[in-house]
Amino acid sequence: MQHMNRRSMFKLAGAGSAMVAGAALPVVGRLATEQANRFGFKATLGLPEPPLPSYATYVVEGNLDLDTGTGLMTSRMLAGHPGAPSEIGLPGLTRVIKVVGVDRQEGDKLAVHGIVEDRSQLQPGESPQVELLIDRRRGVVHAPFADRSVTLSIG
Amino acid sequence: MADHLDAPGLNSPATDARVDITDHYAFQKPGDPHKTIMILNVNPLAPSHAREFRHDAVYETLVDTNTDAQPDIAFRYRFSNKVAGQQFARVTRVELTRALEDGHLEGDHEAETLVEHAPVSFGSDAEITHAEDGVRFFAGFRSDPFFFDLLGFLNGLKFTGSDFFADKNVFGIALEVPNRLLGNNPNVGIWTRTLVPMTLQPNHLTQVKQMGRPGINTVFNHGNDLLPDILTFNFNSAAGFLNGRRLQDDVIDISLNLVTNGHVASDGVGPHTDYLAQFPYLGTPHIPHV
Repeated sequence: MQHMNRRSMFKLAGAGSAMVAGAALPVVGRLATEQANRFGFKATLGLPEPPLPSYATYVVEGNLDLDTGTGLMTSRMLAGHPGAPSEIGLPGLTRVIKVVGVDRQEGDKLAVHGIVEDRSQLQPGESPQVELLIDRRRGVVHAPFADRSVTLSIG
Repeated sequence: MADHLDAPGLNSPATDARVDITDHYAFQKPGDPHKTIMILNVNPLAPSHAREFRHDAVYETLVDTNTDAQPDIAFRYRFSNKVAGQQFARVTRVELTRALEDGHLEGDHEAETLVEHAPVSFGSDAEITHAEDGVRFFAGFRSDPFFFDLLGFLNGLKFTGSDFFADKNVFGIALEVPNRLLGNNPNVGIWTRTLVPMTLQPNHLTQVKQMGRPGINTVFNHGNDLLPDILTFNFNSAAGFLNGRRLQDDVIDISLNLVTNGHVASDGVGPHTDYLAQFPYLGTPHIPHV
């Protein structure tokens, strides 16, 4: 080390890193495979939608195990525009959704079936069954809001 | 909506619900044309985010007496620290001679004290402070008088008549004054604002929230100053919005009609039924105590 200049040291460090990476490759590969069977997402939409000014941000996020068709999702409404959402959730609009099934569909889409176990979170007449369609290729989530489906952007 | 949780693109002012104005009202006292009621509500969804008034803030009602859109009279509300569940208010009145300037409370040393050491109500009973000249004052936890189908609004004006605010609470400030304290001209403009100490200059105050007409900031004025945000009011008239604003005035329906050119006439939600017939008019809160 005494005669090694800084450039040589960086080269060695680089080679060392490559060796470590190479040695770890099988592990990384296995993790990547496992990751491929998992999908985490966070999707948002400003509401009301244009041309009205967005006053709140609808957030749907979750983690799915694509092998077992299980996972957990939440949907909530935050005060504030999607560009600057607050940390204030509008009361009565948060749902914790247990995932009970995930169907892979053509075009890298996931049809997610969920259920709101805590019925006290529901509005009168609101179904506890939740169906989402995640279009991973387009980076959007189609989710229910009020009496219709809305499209949120994954970001 | 009024200004609950603030306008698009803005966070709660100073991220502090205590100074977040939800609504303000000005109306002739029912049964007494010689008096005016002014109400300033803050703290949306109380007590979720705050259980008191901010002690180092100034809450202000400004009155323009000569229709030049500049304030001529200020009613200022200040609060003590909340200690052992108690907080007290002081109310002053100032006649302004200069334009407002950020950082300063103009004329504060010439202020006339209207109310001193008025207890803030944190329970169901409204503690009312009586002062000279028939002035009455209330500050505390109350039912939110605002009514609106918020979900229908978020759903693109597809209203279902569900009142999101039916069970919500606020912190209210109500002041009853003889009309002469609003000046000689019955046609006044009224708006409210909150001020807090500047971060790097704590001896100076900066405005964090202003409200005049309901809905102006939130729905119609998001980011651009399209209209002067002042509530016009003739204190000789008992008529409601657009002459001042009473608790029961359906400002949403009026605004919807205007902004949609009559295509959307109503959100299907009407006034709450818990308004009191007498001062402070704000209904009993939906939980007994904070």
